[in-house]
Amino acid sequence: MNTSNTHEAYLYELLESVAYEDLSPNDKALVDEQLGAENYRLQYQLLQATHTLPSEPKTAQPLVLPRSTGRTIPLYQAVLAVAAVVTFFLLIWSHSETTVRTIYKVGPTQVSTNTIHDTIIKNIVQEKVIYKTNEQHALVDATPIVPEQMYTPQELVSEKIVSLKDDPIAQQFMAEMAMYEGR
Amino acid sequence: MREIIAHHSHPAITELHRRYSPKLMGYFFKMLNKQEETAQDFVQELFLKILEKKHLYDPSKKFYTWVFTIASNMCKTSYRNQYVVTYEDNLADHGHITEDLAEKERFHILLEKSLSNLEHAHKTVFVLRHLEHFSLQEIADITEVSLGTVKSRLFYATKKMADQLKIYQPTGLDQLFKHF
Repeated sequence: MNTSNTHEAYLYELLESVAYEDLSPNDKALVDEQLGAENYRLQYQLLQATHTLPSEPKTAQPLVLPRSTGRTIPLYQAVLAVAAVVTFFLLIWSHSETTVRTIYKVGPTQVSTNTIHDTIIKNIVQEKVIYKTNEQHALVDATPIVPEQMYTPQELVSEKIVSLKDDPIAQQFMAEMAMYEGR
Repeated sequence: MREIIAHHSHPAITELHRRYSPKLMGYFFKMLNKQEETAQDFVQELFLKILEKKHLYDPSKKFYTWVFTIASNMCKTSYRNQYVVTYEDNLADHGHITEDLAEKERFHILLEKSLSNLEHAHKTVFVLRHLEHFSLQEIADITEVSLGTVKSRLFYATKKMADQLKIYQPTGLDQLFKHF
């Protein structure tokens, strides 16, 4: 508490209990400095007069209490109620089927592919000169060329439709095949 | 109070109401600038608060002090919300107090007028000290401030009221106080 507050508190103690004329010299000096004699007397009289005022007893209306006040639920009842509610919901949830909904996208799926070519293939044709000797040429010439035997169906060479049994080439082919399988 | 806490007893709270309601009614009446209906409502509300907040009661302290702490806080809240109508609004004309009133009655009226013009904190301590006759320490407990602050507030409250009385009674206060 600072000095000012201390003075105020002390002055109030004096005001409540001591008349100006009964103050000690030191207190009187303090009062004169802080309040002045006239103000002190006035405030002292005010407090004395206030104390003598008769109190004003007032009659209050009867107390109206809410009905619920004082009615408490015992703990075991509360616990039982909570357990019952939990059990009830567990039973409901255990019997309910879980439905999984799958959503398919209907309609064509457009896929766009953007190919980026980062490799360039370049065909380089090199000219190559091959020098052949006479001997090699002679060796190549000495190799007999066997023409492949071709079997042309009769109907391709002739407009006349001939049975496979009557076709001499087909007969020859069948005979060779039989020989081959018999081997 | 212990009976209420232990057994939620209605007869006990009714007994507390019987004991303390006249004093509380008087306090609210003074603090709420003589609005009797509002004071009645505040008394009812206060006892309901006692029931609701009974667990906050400290048995090592005086019940009376605790109740007045609640009452004081209720007045503070209503003051903040501007629920209290100022005394000036209720009096038609302050300047023409009839001459035939007894001096004590006259002083009483002037005192109420000057009280109504005090700041809420100053008014609270003054009413508790001089009209409800609480000790300084009890007022400190009720208003939840230090003893020094209570004395300081009382000093300023007295000073302001004396200044107000000078304005209301410019001819001098000796005549007013001679009957006390």
